Amino acid sequence: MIKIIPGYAVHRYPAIFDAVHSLRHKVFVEEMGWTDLASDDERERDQFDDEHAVHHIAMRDGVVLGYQRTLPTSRPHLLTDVLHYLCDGDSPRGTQHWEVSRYCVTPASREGRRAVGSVGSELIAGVVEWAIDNDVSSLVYEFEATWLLRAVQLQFFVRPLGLLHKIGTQQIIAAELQITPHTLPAIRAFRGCHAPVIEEAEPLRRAS
Amino acid sequence: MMGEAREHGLGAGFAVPMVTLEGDLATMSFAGEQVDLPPAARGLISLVGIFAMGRAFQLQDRRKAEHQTLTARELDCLRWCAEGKTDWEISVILGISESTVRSHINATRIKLNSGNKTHMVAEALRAGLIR
Repeated sequence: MIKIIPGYAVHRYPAIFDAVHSLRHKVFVEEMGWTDLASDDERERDQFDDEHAVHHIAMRDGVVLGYQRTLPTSRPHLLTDVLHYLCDGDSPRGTQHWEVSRYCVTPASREGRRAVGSVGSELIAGVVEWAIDNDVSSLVYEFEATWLLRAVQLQFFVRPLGLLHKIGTQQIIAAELQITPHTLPAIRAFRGCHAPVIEEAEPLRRAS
Repeated sequence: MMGEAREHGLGAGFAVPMVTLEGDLATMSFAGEQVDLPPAARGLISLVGIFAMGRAFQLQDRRKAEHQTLTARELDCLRWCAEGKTDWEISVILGISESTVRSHINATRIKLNSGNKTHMVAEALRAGLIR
């Protein structure tokens, strides 16, 4: 099940977010070697973990197994402030376009070395369900080139925003994934599970 | 194989390795008499390969989806056809009339865009509906 927690509500879930930042450190710093994100407390945080971020957390029996973060493109985000060289022209900006970053799954939840496992695909189903609920029409990713084919197979309309760039040991590309009427059915068919995956979602904005 | 390719004027090539959603390996190769690829073009060719493969998968899935509209009875008749049973034999096996069997097979034949029973079974094998 996917729990959606907007940045403004993070302080209400201290245990979950300790696990989230620890997982991010494990995957991005220790496993992928993005050493500039390293932190002494082994919790990875960055300047975008503010009240505008939305956190998507995959949980099983109260344990955090996967994570991804969406950032509004109407504000500074990775593609504008950190990875701008991945984008050759204008990047999509506005309330309909959100950037997805820090997608990760615990090593134990990965099924095989190459396939997308059930936690990984649940996160993808979750971000698309969330996007549809919030009138978001496309998702911006900076990901390994491998994901391009997967995205096409999942019936996203994929628009590369630049060419491949080598970052560390990986070939990374920025791409806009437009959600089509076929996207969610294709993801659910791949998962063999048609029930919604979002269990609990706090509204994007604080009720005033 | 490489020697054979050279005989057909394919002296050099460029392969784009890929991993599918299911974790299978895939590759698309570009070949010609000689290959002159500056680094920027390599990235571009990789993208072309990835998108061509993605499109091929989409078309294949669409074909499968069309075939999936076969009813359970139509599939039964199709499977027995592939086992070499006659319409009458299938009617006995399934406990339905011979004319019903004929109409199931006819409907399947049309759905699989095939001209006759042999062609229908061949299309069904190709589409992975039967093994």
